[in-house]
Amino acid sequence: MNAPDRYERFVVPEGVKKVSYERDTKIMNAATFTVEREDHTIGNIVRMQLHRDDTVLFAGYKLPHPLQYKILLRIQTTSQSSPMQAYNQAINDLDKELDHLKNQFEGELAKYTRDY
Amino acid sequence: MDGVSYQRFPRIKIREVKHDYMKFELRDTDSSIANALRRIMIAEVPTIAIDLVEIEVNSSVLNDEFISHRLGLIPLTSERAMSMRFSRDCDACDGDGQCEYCSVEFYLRVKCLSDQTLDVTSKDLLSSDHTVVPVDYSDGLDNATNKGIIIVKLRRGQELRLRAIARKGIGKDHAKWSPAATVTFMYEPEIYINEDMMESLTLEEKQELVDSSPTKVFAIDPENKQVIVVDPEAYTYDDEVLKKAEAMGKPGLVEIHAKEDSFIFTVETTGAVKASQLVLNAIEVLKQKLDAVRLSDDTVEADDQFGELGAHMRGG
Amino acid sequence: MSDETDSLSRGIDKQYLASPIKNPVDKYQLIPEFLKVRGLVKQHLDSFNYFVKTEINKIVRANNEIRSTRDPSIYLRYRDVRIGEPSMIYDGVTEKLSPQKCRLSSLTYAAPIYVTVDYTSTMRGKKQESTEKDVVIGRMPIMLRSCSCVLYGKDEEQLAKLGECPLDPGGYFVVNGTEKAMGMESDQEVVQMLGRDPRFSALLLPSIEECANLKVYTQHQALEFLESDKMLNVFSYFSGPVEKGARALSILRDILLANVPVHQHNFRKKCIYVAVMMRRMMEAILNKDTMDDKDYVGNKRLELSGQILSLLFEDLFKTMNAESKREFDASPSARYILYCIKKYNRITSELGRTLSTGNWDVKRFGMHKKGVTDVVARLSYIGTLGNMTKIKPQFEKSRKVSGPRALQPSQFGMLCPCDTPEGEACGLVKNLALMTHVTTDEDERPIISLCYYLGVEDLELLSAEELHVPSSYLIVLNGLMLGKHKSLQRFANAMRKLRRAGKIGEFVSIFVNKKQRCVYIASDGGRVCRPLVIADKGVSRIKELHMKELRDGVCDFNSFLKDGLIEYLDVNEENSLIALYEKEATPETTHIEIEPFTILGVCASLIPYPHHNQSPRNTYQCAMGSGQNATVAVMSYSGYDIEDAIVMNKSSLDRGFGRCIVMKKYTAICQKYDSCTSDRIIKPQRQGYEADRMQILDDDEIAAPGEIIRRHDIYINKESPIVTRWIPGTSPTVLPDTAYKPSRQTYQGTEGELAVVDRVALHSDENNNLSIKFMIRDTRRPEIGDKFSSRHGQKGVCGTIVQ
Repeated sequence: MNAPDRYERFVVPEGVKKVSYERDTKIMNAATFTVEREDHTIGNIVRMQLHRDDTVLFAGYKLPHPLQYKILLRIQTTSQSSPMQAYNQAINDLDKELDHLKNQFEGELAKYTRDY
Repeated sequence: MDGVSYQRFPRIKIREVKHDYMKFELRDTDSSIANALRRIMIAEVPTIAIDLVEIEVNSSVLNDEFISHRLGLIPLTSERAMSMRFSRDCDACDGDGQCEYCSVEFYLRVKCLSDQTLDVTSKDLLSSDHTVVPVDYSDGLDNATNKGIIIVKLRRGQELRLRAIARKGIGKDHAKWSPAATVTFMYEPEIYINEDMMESLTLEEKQELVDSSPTKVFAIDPENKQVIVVDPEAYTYDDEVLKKAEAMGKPGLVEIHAKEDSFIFTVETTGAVKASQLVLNAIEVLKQKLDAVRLSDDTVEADDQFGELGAHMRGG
Repeated sequence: MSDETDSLSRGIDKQYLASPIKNPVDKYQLIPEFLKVRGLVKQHLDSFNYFVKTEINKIVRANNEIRSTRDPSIYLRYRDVRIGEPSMIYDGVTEKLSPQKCRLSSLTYAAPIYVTVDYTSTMRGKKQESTEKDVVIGRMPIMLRSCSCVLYGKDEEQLAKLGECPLDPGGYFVVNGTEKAMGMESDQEVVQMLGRDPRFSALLLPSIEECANLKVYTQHQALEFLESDKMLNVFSYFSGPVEKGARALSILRDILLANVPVHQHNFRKKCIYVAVMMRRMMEAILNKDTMDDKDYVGNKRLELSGQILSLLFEDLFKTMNAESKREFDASPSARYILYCIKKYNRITSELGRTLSTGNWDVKRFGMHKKGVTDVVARLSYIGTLGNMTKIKPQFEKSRKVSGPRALQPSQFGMLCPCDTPEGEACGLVKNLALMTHVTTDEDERPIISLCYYLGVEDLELLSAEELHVPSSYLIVLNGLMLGKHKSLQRFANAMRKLRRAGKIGEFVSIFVNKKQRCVYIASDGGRVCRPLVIADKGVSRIKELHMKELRDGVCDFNSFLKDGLIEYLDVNEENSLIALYEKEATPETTHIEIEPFTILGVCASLIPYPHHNQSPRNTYQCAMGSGQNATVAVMSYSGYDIEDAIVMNKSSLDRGFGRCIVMKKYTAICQKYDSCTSDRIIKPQRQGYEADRMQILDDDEIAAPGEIIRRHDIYINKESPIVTRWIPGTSPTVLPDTAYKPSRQTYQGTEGELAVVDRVALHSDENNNLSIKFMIRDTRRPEIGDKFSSRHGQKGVCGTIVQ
């Protein structure tokens, strides 16, 4: 009866930014990214990719509430980098990884169909 | 920026491919990617499903909502789905189903005229687009035995007449749009048998150890009576063998680890898309999603200003 | 080769046949058979049928005459009462009723009570006897599926045609369109009332001394004493003979121990009865063990709908006769009285009113009961059945007592040990077990004559001395002493043999109480009993071949009963030796249980593995006899499951798990008024500001089935005249539009729910107004906050729905 509409969980409302960024006021090189209408799928891969980054001191994400369809991603880096730089880097790396994965898969699939 | 990259180069090995089933290995990446792929295959790869039903006549025993719900759950062939538009994003139509970009129209007109109960099935759905039709599960069966998915049964005199509009959607919205029947992955197990310790066991004890596993992972070599691993992937991480070894007073007799960077995927689809296509679509969707979460220019700008201000303040 | 296998298989067969039947699974077949024949609400039907067939006749026969006091030769006499087919009179035309029609049209499913009346009529000054057949004295609400119901004996197809569910058990009434079940009333406690012992004389001494002090030595003196102010002022309202001593005597005759009949002023039986009672009392004083346990189920009787209804009917019938008599005394014309009776409608209205309110106020019998009827719970089929087997206590439940609430050992197999509510009615409200049967009254005359034939010596013929000879046994039938018998076992065995042979009713109980040196025979109604397999020296009479016949459909449960393989035992007789399983039987065993799980009631027997549960869990589960069953996997996840909350999976909900359809009924009545005006339904506005709210209205001005109805939608566009009072001197004319004010009805459902008009039914109600009923259907899917439960009393609300 009072349940939120189904589309609420993946349609970003008008006037709301998909990704917003808030710098930490107390800690240097730390920031929280609020990603609207995303969940563990994005949160977890970005976090894990950030962990591979040597300049990242901390990377974590949370789903604040199951009925709030957003994630909070928190990054702290060394002074060599910045949270925003690390975030972009992570997404670029993931994108490249997926490109590679796609090529691999298509290649293997072609090989498989040829063989059988 | 400075050319440092933390990119990985995952490898894939395909084991088995059927139309709606496939099995492959994914290596050299971590579980977050594997899980993201699994989640996207289940909930975010788009398909086409009936979303709007206009009922003209319904004198069947099931009520309108019930039939609409059942219609929605019928898998439709969705190769076109990736290139279609979501109805909410479509500016070419007003959502009445007459739009080639976002919807497909279906008609169902059935009336039972005989004394025998008439099954209304997915085969009675007439599509306006031959690329979007109910999935055929005949699988070599002849038409008489395979009748499709039953929607409702009619007795003499009952009638069902309706118009339905199928739209593109994702499983996150409603499970009817999920192309996946099951998508699972498991960590590849690494099983190590301590041969020296194994030597100290009698044949009965070896047999007991082999039998302690609920799945057939181990066996005894009929020739040299050695315990061998016959099927590591049958292992369900149930720890039964390890507990048995412990109970025998031989901890460390068998060691099993999950390889952190190696996964075995099993993908089964509803038939809406091919299993191999589902994986490819999932990768594509994930790429699109990543693209969507890139920082927008105005955010960067705002931060740059803030950064300068901050630097100014710190400097001042 | 073939020979060899043949002989081999024959060998195995022989072995198989010769081996004792040990498999308890075999007898399981009997339970569905039992339920097929008896059903779970059979006790209600039996009781109602008994009332309709027998009891009502008795009532009418007992009060069959109204005679004018002024002219005693003028009278009116009833005979041949019978219940007709359910019907109603509509515009002077009799129309047959079906239960479904009553439910839809808010009618009472009732049938006329016909009597044949003989009366004195005066023809040209000459008195002669006339007869009028089929006089309707009222309408009796009919229990569904009883012998007077149109559904009686109908097969599935015929039931479907009448709009009835073939699985519906019946056993309830339809009063003003609502289904009312009556339930059972328990705790009519019957303590079985019944030598010279030196210890007794000591106890009697004070009484004798008191008599001496009061100078009461003779019978006459005693009666006078009883009538003195000290004793009888309580009975001052008693209007009887006024001679000295006669009043006391008549009280002694009619009121004291009224169950013992007095023939021609022969008080001997009553004397003996009092004596036996005193003896039992004194025994109880001397030895506490001989005290009767009032919570013992064998001492209880259940009152079923038929009995409760018959009390009400008797009262109404008597009231009608009394009122008629008053009329009679005013105008001594039997024909006029007959007219009065035909016009009399209190029986109909009171029966309907009492059934629909459930308040039984029968002053004549000092009965003030509330909540006798319940609206049938239709949440689920099992819930409905469970409702029908409920037993409510008669006394106040606010009493802080533990005795009646405790689980009684004698309840075994008769009343469910699990099914009882929590809280104040805990242990007082009970439920019948699966195979329990509640008896109805049975004629005792054949049993009495049989007893005498079997060698019972009449009490009249015995001297006081002989009464307490230790070698003879007292035979008591329904609390009435018949006489004495020399050989206890021989008599009991003979009686039982007769019962098993079907010569006396199968529900007659023969109970030997060796301690009290009595044989109690009971044929009265309201006893609980259950079937058991008879065993001879520990060997079950049911053999594999019987079960095979049962499986093949050659015979049914009743033929088992007829063949003397099975018999009904009531709680008292149940004190024989009953083995739970055949393998546990010893040579002393007299009976074997059919199946152990039949100790449970309807709700409790649907709990999987109840014996693995903590006992209160089963009790909690019984209170939740409703809903859909699902197979689920359970795990803990995300913290939204603490405090019994449940985490649900969204996809399964999308696919239809836990979906339910809620139907709601809305009624609109087109009222007719005194002023010869009536409400009118007007065409919907297709334009204008209200057109939006009238979208769902059809051209017939009523909401169309299949339309989606939203909040504030108008489902009937009705107008009422402003002036509804009748103004003298005006004639009915067509009123102008301005004389009407809108009285449309709008849907007040919750925002956001998808409700659909399911059905629209038009019919006339009892006042001949057009009544329109709307069934509104709303499909709901599980949401956060909805309540779910397992089948083990584990309930919780949905805490979150996970993608």
